[in-house]
Amino acid sequence: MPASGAAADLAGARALARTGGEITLEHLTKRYADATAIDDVSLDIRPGEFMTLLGPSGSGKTTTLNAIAGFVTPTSGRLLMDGTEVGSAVGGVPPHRRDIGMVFQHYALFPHMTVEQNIAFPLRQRKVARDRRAELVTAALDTVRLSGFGRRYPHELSGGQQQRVAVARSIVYRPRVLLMDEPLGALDKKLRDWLQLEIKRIHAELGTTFVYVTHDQDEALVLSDRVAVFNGGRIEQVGTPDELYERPSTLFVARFVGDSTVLRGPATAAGSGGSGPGGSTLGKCGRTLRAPGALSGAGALVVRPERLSVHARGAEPDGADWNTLPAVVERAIYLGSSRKLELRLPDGEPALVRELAGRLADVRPGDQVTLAWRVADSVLLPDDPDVEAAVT
Amino acid sequence: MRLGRAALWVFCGLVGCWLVAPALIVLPLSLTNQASLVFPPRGWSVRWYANFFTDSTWIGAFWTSVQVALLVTVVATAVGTAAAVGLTRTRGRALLVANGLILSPMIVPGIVFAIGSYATFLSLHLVGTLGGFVMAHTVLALPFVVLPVAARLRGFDRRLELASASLGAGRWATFQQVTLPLVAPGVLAGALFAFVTSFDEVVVSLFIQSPYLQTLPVKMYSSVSRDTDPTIAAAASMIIVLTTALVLVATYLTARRSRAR
Amino acid sequence: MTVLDELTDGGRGSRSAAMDRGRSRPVWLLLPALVLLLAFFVYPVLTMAWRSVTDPVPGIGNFTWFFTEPANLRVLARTFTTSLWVTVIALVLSYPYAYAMTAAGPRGRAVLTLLVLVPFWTSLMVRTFAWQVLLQDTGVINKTLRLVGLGPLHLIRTETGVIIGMTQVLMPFLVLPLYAVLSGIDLRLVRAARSLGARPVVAFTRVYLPLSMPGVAAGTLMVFILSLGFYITPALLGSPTDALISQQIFTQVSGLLRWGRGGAMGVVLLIATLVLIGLVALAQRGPARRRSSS
Repeated sequence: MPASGAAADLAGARALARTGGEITLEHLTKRYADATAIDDVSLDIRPGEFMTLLGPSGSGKTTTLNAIAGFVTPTSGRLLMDGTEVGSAVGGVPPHRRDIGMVFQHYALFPHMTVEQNIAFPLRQRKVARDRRAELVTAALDTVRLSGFGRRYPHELSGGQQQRVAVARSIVYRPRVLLMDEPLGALDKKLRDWLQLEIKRIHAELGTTFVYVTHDQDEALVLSDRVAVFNGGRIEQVGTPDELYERPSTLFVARFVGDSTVLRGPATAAGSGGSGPGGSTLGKCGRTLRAPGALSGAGALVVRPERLSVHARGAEPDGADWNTLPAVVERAIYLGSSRKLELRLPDGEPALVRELAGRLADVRPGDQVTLAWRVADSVLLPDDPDVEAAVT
Repeated sequence: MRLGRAALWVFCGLVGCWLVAPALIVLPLSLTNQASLVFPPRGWSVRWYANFFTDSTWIGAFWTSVQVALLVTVVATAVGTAAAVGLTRTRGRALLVANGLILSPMIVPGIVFAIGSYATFLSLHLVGTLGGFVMAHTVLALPFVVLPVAARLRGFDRRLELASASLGAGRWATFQQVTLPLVAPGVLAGALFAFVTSFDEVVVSLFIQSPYLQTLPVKMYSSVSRDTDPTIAAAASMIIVLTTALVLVATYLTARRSRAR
Repeated sequence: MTVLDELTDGGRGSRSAAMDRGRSRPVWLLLPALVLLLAFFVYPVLTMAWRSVTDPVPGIGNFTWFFTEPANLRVLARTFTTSLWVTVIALVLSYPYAYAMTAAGPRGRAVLTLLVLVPFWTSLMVRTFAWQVLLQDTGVINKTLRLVGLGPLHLIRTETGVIIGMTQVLMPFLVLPLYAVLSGIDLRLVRAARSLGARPVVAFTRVYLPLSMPGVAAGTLMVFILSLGFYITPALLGSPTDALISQQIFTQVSGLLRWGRGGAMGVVLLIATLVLIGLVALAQRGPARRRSSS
């Protein structure tokens, strides 16, 4: 072990913890008397990665997190950490003996202890000697940039400070895995944005595996190496933020992550009357749109707002790799660095376009325009009537 | 509105006086030099206190009350705290039944419980025994322990226990280092109420006493009906001083502990 | 937060986490309390009820005696009216007092709380004895009245004296639950009512008062029930001719050894109490549903 000293501690710990824990969920199911919280959830979380569990309320992401922590016993399925089974329907390793740290939405700081005592608490449970404890506590406070706050009580701190203390408390003993349950939900926007970056920095420094639960997809995209999107107790898609945004595999993921325009209509795969080799067509507003991929049946063509462009009637691009649709501009929302245009298609469905400042089309509300996009910039997915199509 | 405010404060002042007056007049009354309960006293003397401390029936009753109250405090606080913790883990119908049972001594009229106890104690030969007093008083004190402890537990954020577990503390360590310190003020309050309830209890004690074993309130009751000397005022003053001191100590202790809240 | 606050603190609602905790059997924790209560409380009360139908001969003779003797019914009626008076007067005095407690600053509130709690921990005997002294024909009250020129009031050994004494003794039981509820009322609701055009009186009766009802119900019920079964104060401050039911029970059992009759009166008192609680619980069932969700 390197000599004592906060910086040396961090370096030594970095070397150790770069091998953050690996977590494997195998067909986890949790059923309660009146509902199924998670249904056949399987997931591989790699050592040291930042995995976010993303989804709306009640989608099962928190239950999954609690299963990893050991606060929930699965009805069936297995939970493994570093290859060893730690949780199953017949029980498992109790939470206080799993090598985890947990940060809660409402901090859960012990009100009757000082900041120092809070942070030292896990070290006391692990029988760390007093001097060593003091060193580690100081190092942890440095990591979250709260040096000197040791003697204060939680009620003397702001929300953001309390949350940082909670984080310090859960990393001071270098757990292999850190679980975070919507930790920034109770804070205001500016503080949230800043803390997100702090959390990202701490993750990079420590190399611990982070499992983060949130319903805020912006947050998920900013923080994560990979994201698992939950819906109704199941995982719809696991992927990098880039994969989720550009190549969503279900309509729910397409709608939940980022804005989009969804064009619903009957799809016909090539080879059954469609156009050209591969690809499909989608009927919309009397036109035949070309789409990538092969799908027959009720289809939903998803186009991201920055991939749509707006043109005056007759001035739209032409070519086999372009799709066009007529539309009416309803609203223009100026956002400084960009502009959002809300349009209405002939069949009443909405469309959303985002333009960068400096490249704004010369249009006003009420104008009749043509929307255009490249075929390759769209994704064809099976339609899902449960996913409502209103543009956010 | 100013007028309304002022009227409210005057009102509260009057009500406050009315609430406190009886206790206050007892103190000077105990220092009268007359052998009658005339108020205000015309002269001063401490002979009634002397009388109190030298009369074996008075001092014996006082000592019995203290003994019983201390025992009741220990038993009721331990049993009541455990019950309060147990209640927070119970749900549904079992909770309703347990809750109702524990609070029933507060609802059932004292006289009803008193004659029932008397009948039972007669057949069990518990009349006039220390154990009998302790049991009867403990049962009356239990709700007064359970209520503040349960209230504390209800306001207790259970997530603190989860956090403690996630940080490596087993169930006992969590109880010791997290739950208990935060619940302690409630336990202390319960202990205090238990003591006062027992020390103050009259009705049941009237029935289960014997000429050889009486509590102080019982002795006072018989004195009120028979004697006219102000020794009873001295006894009353001692009770006021004792219980006030207890409350102040308990308040001081809880104020210091709860600084962090 | 001090010991005093434990009494007035309504106990904040808990946030329940939707997860199962490995729970130890709560039965073990509840067992000692339940055993004690069953043996030393339930059993005695049942014994008394048993005696009421078996002493001196099995049957409901004691109950028929009770309900057919006009003297008994007078006692019952007197007990109820006295309790009613006590409850009403205590409510009239307690409501503004409890309100003042919510409106006061921390120091004022501490003083008011202290004043309310002093009767609580000064022994019942002490207070009743003190009232004896105060209410005497030559006592403090009459002396003060004579100073002001008002005639002497015969208060000792009268129903009025009993009511005065009992009200003072029982007031804390009204003030404290009332305060607990009043302090939880969101005053912004009243302000909202005012901003919508309601006059202060209307805002009070239509918004504040209904919200305070749970506290009023709990407190008045507690005081009424306690005064029904009250023994010491009526016994010492009242006269034997105006006895309340508790005194009658005492006489029957302690003086006349008539367990059956005493028991029967006890059963009547107990049933009356339970019926009252049941009625109030029913009345409160609807509006009292408030469970905060996490």
